[in-house]
Amino acid sequence: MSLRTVRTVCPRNCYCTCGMLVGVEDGRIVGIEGDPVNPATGGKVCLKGLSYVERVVHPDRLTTPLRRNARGGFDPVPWDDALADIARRLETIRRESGPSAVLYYEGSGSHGALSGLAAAFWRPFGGPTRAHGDLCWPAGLEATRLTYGDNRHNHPVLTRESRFILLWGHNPAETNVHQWNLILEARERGAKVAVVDPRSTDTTDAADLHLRPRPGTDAALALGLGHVILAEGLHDQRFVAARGLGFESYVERVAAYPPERVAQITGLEAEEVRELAREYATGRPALLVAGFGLQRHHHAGQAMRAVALLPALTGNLGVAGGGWQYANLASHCLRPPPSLPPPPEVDPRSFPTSRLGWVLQHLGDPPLRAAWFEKANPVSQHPRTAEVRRGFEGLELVVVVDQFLTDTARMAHYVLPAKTLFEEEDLVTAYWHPYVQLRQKVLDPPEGVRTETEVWRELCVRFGFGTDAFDVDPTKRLRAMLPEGREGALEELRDRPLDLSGCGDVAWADGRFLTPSGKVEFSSEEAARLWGVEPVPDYQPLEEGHAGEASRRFPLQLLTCKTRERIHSQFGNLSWIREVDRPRVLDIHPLDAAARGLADGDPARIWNARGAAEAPVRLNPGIRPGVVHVIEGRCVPEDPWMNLVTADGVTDMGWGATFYECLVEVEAVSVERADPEPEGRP
Amino acid sequence: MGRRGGGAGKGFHEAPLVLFSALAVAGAGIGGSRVLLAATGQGAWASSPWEAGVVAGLLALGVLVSTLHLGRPSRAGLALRMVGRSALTAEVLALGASLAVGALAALLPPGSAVGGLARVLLPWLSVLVLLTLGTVYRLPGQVGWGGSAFLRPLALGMVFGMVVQGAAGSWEVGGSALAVLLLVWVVDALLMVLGGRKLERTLGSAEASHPAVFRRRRLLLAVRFSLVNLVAPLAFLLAWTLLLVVVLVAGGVLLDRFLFYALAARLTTEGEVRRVEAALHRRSIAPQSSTD
Amino acid sequence: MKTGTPAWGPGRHGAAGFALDLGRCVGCGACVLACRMENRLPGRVSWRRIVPLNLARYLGGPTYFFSLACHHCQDPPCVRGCPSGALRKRPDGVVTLEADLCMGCRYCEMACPFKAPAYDSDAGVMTKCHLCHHRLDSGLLPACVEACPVGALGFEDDTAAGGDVAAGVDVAAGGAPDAETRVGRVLRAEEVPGFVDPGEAKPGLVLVPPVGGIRGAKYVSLESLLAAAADAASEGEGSGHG
Repeated sequence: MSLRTVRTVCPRNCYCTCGMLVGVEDGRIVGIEGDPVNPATGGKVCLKGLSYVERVVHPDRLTTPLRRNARGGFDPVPWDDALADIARRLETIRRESGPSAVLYYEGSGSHGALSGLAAAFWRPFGGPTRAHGDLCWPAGLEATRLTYGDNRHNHPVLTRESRFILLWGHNPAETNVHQWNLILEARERGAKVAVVDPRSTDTTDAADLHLRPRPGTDAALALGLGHVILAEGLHDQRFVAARGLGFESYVERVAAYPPERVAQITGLEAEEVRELAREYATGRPALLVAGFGLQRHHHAGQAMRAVALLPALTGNLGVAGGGWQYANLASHCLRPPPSLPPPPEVDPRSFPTSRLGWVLQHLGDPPLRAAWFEKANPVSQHPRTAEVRRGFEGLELVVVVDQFLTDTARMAHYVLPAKTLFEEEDLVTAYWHPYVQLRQKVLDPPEGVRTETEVWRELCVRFGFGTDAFDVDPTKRLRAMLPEGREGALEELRDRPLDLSGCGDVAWADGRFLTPSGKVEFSSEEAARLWGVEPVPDYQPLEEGHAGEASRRFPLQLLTCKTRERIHSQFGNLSWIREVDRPRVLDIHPLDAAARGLADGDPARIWNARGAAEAPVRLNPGIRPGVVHVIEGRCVPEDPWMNLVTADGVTDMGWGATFYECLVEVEAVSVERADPEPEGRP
Repeated sequence: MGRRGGGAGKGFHEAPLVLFSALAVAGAGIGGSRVLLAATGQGAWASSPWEAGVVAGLLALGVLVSTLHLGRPSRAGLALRMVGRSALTAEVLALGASLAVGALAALLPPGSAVGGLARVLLPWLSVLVLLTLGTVYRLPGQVGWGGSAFLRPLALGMVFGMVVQGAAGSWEVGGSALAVLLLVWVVDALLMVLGGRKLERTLGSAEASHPAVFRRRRLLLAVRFSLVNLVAPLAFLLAWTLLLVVVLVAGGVLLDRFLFYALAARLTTEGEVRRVEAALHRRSIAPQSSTD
Repeated sequence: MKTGTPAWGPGRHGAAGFALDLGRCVGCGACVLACRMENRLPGRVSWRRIVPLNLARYLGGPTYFFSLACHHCQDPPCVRGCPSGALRKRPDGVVTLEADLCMGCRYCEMACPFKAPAYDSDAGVMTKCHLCHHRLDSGLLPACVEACPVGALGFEDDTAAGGDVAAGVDVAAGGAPDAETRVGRVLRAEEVPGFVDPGEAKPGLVLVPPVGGIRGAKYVSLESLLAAAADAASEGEGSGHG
């Protein structure tokens, strides 16, 4: 390709985690390709991977620390000044109020094992307040763990062998392009594809069956499918008898969900429920892929359990081409960095991530006075933006580490410029394929940018903490983070990704599950004990759902889904991406629009008691009436602030977020509203 | 909503071409109108040196302006490479020949044989220029530039030329020359109307090069039509000063040339997509439609 | 649909162009970015673009995406019109634009019905997709084709044949096409109703229709969607746009 080619990997919060080959010429990245040596991602990357060529040298990329000035703008400051001031202020706060008056928040913006080095500073600091759970997927992770004992699934390439692929709340044509490729291949071999999604998407375009239930009613649909499968004798009796626990209770549960009742709850037709049940149960081997979308509400965990039981019911586990696919944590077998100081005796204080806004304002004993955010953009990406902003305004010191001046960085006192993935060697795990990959260094960071490793070390020095963890030779350090006994794999990782899990390509092939009982738990005592939920999953209507109180005033269910041009608030500011990006519009069914006097292109206000956002109307017959949608993620000023209307609820298990449990009303912007506009900075 | 990737930037880069073609139409129109005058017995078949000078001068100015349109004006000479292959090369040759012949016709003394030949040739070369100005734009997919549109520079040039000649006293108002002028006016008007109707008919799948101007096309075309085909002839018939009529027609020439480029509309994939989507939209909201 | 390495070499005579599988293209734009990256295009110039059809999914129909660059027509209007000879149709089918011979008159830009020539305002010359013939000469595929993550873009080296899928194109990983599920005939761009060739340029773009015989909106033939549109259009007057 060019003078020098370096093998590395994309560390984004994304299923694919593609192996990449980077072409470097005269110290500049000139080309990026997929690495053919990764069996799951082959020789392809997505458009975002290609856009790194621009991202690394983008004119807006931060290359110096910034300090907020009196006018609300930012001035460049030298690293020494910035770190000295930050250290002084953190120390003062720690002395006066204790270490938990500081919040250390780490998001998912970049993955890499070296992020564990932050503990080398924060542990001796005494343990800052942390967040537990996350905004993304923990309800489903926990649901899967409770059902099967672990989050693992078949090797992705086995998708080709499926005869029936059920995509539930999942849009791989946008969010997992390599999976989509495999699904298309399966299709060309004769597989059928079914999709459960209230929207029409590029994925549903290729579906044989498309069911559009009301958001938040998936548990009822799953139990209804179970009902039909059992009623028609399509379940795998042998598997369930040998490998299932609590099946009788499950049978009792699904008895209450005949297709007619399911239709009433979900808004589907009874016949399409039957059809999906039959096709899924008879299309062997059948693969069920659940996205993260259907677990973004209060009763997510139980809903996910209900759905996750279907592969067990139909005996589609432990077979190539079958399975339950949600997240594959097989590659998460790395050890923490060596020579870390010991953890503090008392567990640091922590709160559910989703509640950040409330916590920043109302936590007491001690209240939060400072916060350090990295790999995150909570001001635009967290739910309930107005609360988050108010929380930020009350902090004495906010440090944000990022590559660009994001919405969150704009509210910081100090912004520290972050490196890109090309600028430090690290180990990267994945959550779709089982590979650990070595993210080899491609070039030095620009002048003025320091790696986080260097920043933590510097802070340790200033605080007088030990620097043992940093004084390890970087290569030795990476070796020590590989699983025990596999230290020698580092050299091989320079040439190819490695599956270090020992799990094998077919998950649960031996039929031994890692639950307390060793079986698939249709009924889980652990679930009841840990989370206070029913042992057998049931459908519970959402408080802020289509049948709830609030729906009388706010009758539309809002979804804010993902697209392929961005990862949340990353990439959308690049000109290469903007060339092919799509406008942020409100997808609304023509019937709902007509009832509100809205025509195509009209500016619309999407609002509820929590706030309001604006986007132009796009009449979309493909979306379920009663549901509206705007793409999420704020990358450029024109993007709407959708999280002004979302709620900061916590899921029934796993401490996840409830973005898709959101009722709104939509009206033309010109309409006067009785409620005043919520305050917020532009 | 299409994607933005691909293609040229915004802005009216054709502006120099508007000026160039206005000058070329004007100059070649004056030169070419000699053919009409001679045919109706109102003068010689040869241009006078003055006439040739005006023609050559206008054409020279036009050619100069046209090089301003080039991304690389210093490479203008490359334009003559594809003789016999490119319509644009042919147009450039015609212009060049007219310029050269016009210069000879203007500068050589009356007795000169070469000068005499040049003065006879110039009117016909001018007609050729007017034709190539039209034919060079017969391009696939350009809906406004096909069909009879290639005759528009010829018709408009003749109108302008006859009016200017009249103002200069080259012919007497009344008689066959007047009839010819009125005839050319009618031809120009007809071509405008035909062109306008064709544009409206093919609009569904055409994509305008300059949407902002395109939206106002009816008004602008009406102004152009009025200037050249209503007000000017009216002023002429009411025996207003010919100078005023010249100004009106000159304004019409400039506006005509501006609209020629500004209202360019092409059959493109985007245009086809829009046509299809509009039809699908109509079908989907029609009461008898089945939505899947 | 994936293409094999084309039988390519100097002196090879034939037609050339891109093939686009309408059942696979999801309009992601990786091809646009890969072209930009490979050819080091300045931000003001782009050689490839995505045109979506039916984003609003009317009539339960899918969205189709057209990834379009130069079609390397058999009778290119740009070549016919170029006064300086900068544009040329090579014997191997590629239509190239030699920047050194270009004076930036932008005539080709007006002549091309497919918006292929792009003006580089800083350099004062026209630029255009050249099928990555520098890659083809090394046995590589064009950058856009190589980068497409779903294998929607292909490179046809014998589009003159039309008819059955050209040799060198293997239609699915792992084997021969299933006769019942694969429409064996590819469509030339001008054969698709609504994408007529306005001037007999004979664009080299080959549109591979979505795999037929399977339920799913995307696999409804594009032709029937366009026919429905044509019906609707003939019912009412063509609406004025612009």
